[in-house]
Amino acid sequence: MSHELGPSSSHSSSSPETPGTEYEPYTDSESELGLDTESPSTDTDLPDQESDTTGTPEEGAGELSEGAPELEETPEEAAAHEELQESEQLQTATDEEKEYRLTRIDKLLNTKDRVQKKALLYDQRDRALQWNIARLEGKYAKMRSGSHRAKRLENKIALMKRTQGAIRRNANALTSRIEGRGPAREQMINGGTAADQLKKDMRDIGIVAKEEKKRRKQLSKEFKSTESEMRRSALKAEIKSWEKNTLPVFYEKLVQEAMSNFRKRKAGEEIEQERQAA
Amino acid sequence: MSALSKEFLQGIGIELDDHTYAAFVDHFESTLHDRIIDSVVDSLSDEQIEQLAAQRGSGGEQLWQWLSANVPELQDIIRAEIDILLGELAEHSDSI
Repeated sequence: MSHELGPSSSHSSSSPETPGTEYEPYTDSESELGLDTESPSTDTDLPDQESDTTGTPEEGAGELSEGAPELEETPEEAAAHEELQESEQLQTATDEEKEYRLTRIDKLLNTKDRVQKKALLYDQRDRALQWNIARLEGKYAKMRSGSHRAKRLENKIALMKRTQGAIRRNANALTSRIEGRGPAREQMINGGTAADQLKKDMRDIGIVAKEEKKRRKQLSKEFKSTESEMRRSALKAEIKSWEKNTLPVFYEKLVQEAMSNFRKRKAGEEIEQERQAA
Repeated sequence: MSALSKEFLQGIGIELDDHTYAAFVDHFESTLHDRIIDSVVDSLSDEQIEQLAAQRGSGGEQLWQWLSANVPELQDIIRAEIDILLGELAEHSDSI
């Protein structure tokens, strides 16, 4: 059930702007009075984070894998083609991710805007009700106590006060929703959480490292003969099959160092500096 | 001690129970190992790779000396492979 407290024609007739007109009787049921009885947390204005997918980077990247070359390629051409595809996939994934993120930010800003407008409406309704209650209470004070008309008016005032109470509760819920979730939204808009930032750094560093690896691979190709590839592959497989701890014990320390330094490094900077120094 | 600590994974929002963590680290290290070997071998000439293959069973210290002498960029290779693997980990962390 979603009863919005939007400006209704019946209630606007009793607004402060038209003090001379007769107010509408508040003798209806509470739901007809426009009480927003739904929980703010279930408001449909909220973006659905799970279903709100405009295409993940993985999906987008996957599409690029289609269209393999039909012509027969040399091993060098095939490797170059593979590298080019990898590079394109990476770039596309990054672009699509950015686009997805911007879409999410737009949606969040729109939602925040809608919620704030709704809170403003609650405030207007609250003030209108307050004005009407004060007016009726003045009228009631002049009436003969215990008369039929005074009794009716007393009931109306009580109902209006209950309505006002409900409006204020809804307004408070909205306020805490805006304030409570605000930081999370701001965080997303301003670049995400610390975890998001670390992940972004990791991805960026990974991209730089891939480029470096490609460069190194390209250089090493220059002094290898194609004929030796089979022999090399066989030896590589043999080395990989060595006892699990034969090699790792030697580079374990290097791995530990690289891992512990990872957080301190900024994407690309150190690698670039070392590359230049080399 | 594993190179990939639980704290590091938590830092990117990955929470794993002990059993899953052990399996995950095992997979991470195994993948890293294979990739490092690939890169090391790629950096060697045909002659060098024959020499490396002959090092099997030669003892730890000797093997280390051989690697130090013949793979000057070993540290860069290891770090690059870690960076690439961590980048992939970050890329897919939401689905882990």
